[in-house]
This record gives sequence, structure tokens and C-alpha cells, in this order.
Amino acid sequence: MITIHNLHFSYKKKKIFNGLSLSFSPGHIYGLLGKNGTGKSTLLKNIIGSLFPSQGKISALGYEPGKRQPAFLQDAFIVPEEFYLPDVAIEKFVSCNAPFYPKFSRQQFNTYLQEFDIPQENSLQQMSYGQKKKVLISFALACNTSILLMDEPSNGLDIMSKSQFRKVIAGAIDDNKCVIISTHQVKDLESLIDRITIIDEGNILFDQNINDISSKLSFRVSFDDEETKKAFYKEESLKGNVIVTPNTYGEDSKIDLELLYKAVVTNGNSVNTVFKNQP
Amino acid sequence: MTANFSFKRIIQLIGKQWGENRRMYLMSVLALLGLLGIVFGFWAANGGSHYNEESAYIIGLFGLFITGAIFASTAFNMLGSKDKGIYWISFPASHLEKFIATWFFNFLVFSVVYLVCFLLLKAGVESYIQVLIDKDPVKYTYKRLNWNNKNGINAVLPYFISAFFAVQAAFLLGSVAFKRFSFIITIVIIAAFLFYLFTMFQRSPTVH
Repeated sequence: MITIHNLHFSYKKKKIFNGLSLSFSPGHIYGLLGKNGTGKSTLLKNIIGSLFPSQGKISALGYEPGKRQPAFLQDAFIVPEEFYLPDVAIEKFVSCNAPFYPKFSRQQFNTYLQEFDIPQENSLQQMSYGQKKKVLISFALACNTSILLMDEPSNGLDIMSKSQFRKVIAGAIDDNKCVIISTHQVKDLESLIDRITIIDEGNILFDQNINDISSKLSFRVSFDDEETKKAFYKEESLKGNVIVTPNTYGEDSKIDLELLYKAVVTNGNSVNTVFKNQP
Repeated sequence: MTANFSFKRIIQLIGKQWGENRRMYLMSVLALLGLLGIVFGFWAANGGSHYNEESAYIIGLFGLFITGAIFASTAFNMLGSKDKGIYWISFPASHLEKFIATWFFNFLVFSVVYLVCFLLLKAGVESYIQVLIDKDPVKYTYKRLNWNNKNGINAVLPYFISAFFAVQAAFLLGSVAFKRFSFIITIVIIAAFLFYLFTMFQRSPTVH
């Protein structure tokens, strides 16, 4: 669905990507994690075609995004971190924009707004940042585009809205859609994403699906000093040492995205060897 | 009709642009009426006792130049901000379609609206002048424009209109090219270009 080959990108003199290759398939929700300024948003903007690679090739739905063809743009949607919505009522916004998205469903849009507790008669400019974001997310999902890119979607959402967001996204995914969510608020996406890609300095530090991670890594509390020393990552807590270790005994352990992220960033090579060595 | 050009999409884009900006457009019409009203009011109050229709047209043409340039310089200001830019760029229509929809409002609709506002206010001022003439026909006069006169404003009108097209195009381009202060930067560039042309003509040898 999306293939990125040998992507090079720079902002003036600052190099962001230096030969990045990556692919995204339909039917998945991808979590794009990384520190601020590592290129997550830049990657999404390259995929939607608002930025152009200086070298390399991106193919999305068979189109070259940089050409910004209407046929591609009506099947791809981006919810940017800094977004703009015109100063109109929700009804007007929908009547002006929905005709451009052939798979838009008014019924779904109404359902999502209800889920988010947004009154439909409101004007967008009267709304808070979080409410506007929920309208945009509802619209994006109701467009039913094959590609949905979301940059820090949970930023600005309150605690209740974050869980509503997870519920809405989980219900909206199907086998034909590819959702890529870029975030550094990893806790917000737990139990939602099914593949995790961690980017740092324009390189992929880690790219694995949730099933492989849970079968090959263990996230738990340990009181064993020897085990703690050998762990990929350890963190002291009131309950003991929270560690990330190879899942040697095939035990069930809930993935802690924050710990995984820290383990990869601080000890990426060791973490990745587990995925290379084990069958 | 091609993948990048569809009349249906252009009509939809025009509808979207009107729907999302109509408040701003209506406010602009009021501002335009106010601005022209002030200039015409000033002319009516300080124009002496012998009024000339040609002066009204000169006011109108200069107003068209200035307000047209200001309006054109805002045409693509969405591209100057990150959030509006991505909203505009990722919207499912081709660049040509987006340009046509923008041009439709910033040039075509603007020119028609300006003309209507100008003629309305001109008619209003003419009514006022007529009242003055009716009161004191000896003191006040109003000279109508003779469109058959080859030395009047009608002689330079085609050049003025062509220059208006050129200035509009320059300010539209400026609104894409410059993120901030596009109006001022475009004026500076046009002034520099005109100065360059002027010096070139000055230097060129004259044939005797």
C-alpha cells in the first residue's frame, strides 16, 4: 500500500532522512514513535505529498504522492498536529468538504461525533482545541480513505477523550485501510497499534509487530539482581525493578510501549538481536 | 475532463471557497464600499463647484488597482502558514483546479463586485452633485465624460486595464512566492523592476 524506498530528505542543511526504506500494508494500525525532531511528522508529510523527497521514491496506493493527484488525495487523509479548520458550523464544513471524498459516510460521522460528545450545531471557531481535533478525527475516519495519517492525534485530548479515541479508531479499521499514527505519547496508543516503528535521527531503530514483540520480549517487575543486570532496560520503581528482557520462557506479558521505547532508544542493538536470533 | 481537471470539482471548489469564506468576503465588500465611500465623499466635499465625471473614473481606476492588488496578494496566503498550508495542499483537487477557484474569487468576482460598488457610489455622488446643481445651477456644474474624445481617459483605458491584469498577476504570484509581507515585497519588486526598465530606456541610444 505504501512503499518508501531510499528516502532522503533535508530541511535546508538539516538532514532528516538518509536512505530510509519502509513499507506499510493495509489492515494495520502502525505506531510511529520517536523523539521530537526525529522526522515522524516529516515522514507523514512526505507520504501525503506535502513535502517532496530530495532523493528516493515513495509509492502510495500506486501513486507518487508528490504529484498531488486528486485520485490519490481523495483516498488519503492526514490529521496534522497543527491543523486548520475554517470558521463555519460543523454542518457547513461537512457540506463543503465531504463531496470531495467519495467514501465519506455521514452516518459514521454522526456516530463518531456522538462518541466524542460533540454537539453538531456548534460552530468550529467556538470550540476548544480538543473539540476541534475530535471533529477533524471524526471527519477523517468518516472519509473512509485507504490511508489515514495521524500526527500526535491524542495531543490536546482529555483523559476521557483519549479512551474514546482508542475505541473509535479500533472500530474504524478494516482490511483495506492503513492507519499510521505518529506519537510520542506512547501510553495513549497501547492496545491500539499492531505494528511499532521507532525512528531516530532519520533511521529505523525498531520495526516489529505486536505479536512478535509480545512473544520475544518480556515486560515485568523483577527482584532478581542477576536478571536485572542482564535486562535490555531497567527502571527502578516502588514495586521493584521494572525490566525489559528476552521472553525466554514464552510467558504472557503485557507490552509496555513506554518501556519498549526506552529499551530500544537506549539499547536498540541488543533488543533487535532477539528478533534476529529467535525463530 | 482529465484526472487533474474536472468541471464538477471546480464548481464544488468554488462552492467550498464561498461556504468557508463568505463572511470574510461580505466584510470585504462592506470595507470596499466604505473605502470608496470615503474617497467619493472627500471628492464631493472638496471638489470645488465644477465636477468632472472623468475624475470619478480616475478615482475608480486607481481604487481598482490598489484594492485589487491588496486582495490578490491574499489569494494564496494559506500557503504561508503550516496548518492552513497542509489543509490546502492535501485537499483532493489538482493545483490547476485550486488556482482556477482562487482566481475566480480574487479576480473575476472581485472585479465585478468592485465595478458594482463603484457604479453604485458614483451614482450616489452624482445624485448629490445634481442636488447641488438644482439648488444653484450657476455655481455648480458637472461635466459628463465624452467617450468619443480620443484624448480623454478612454484613450488610456485599454493600457490601464492591461496594466491591471499584469499587476494582479504579479500580486497573485507574490502571494504564492512570499510567506510573509507578500504585498509589501511584491510592491518593492515591481518598483525595482519599473526602475530597471526606466533606466534601460534612459540608456538606450536615441535615433535622430
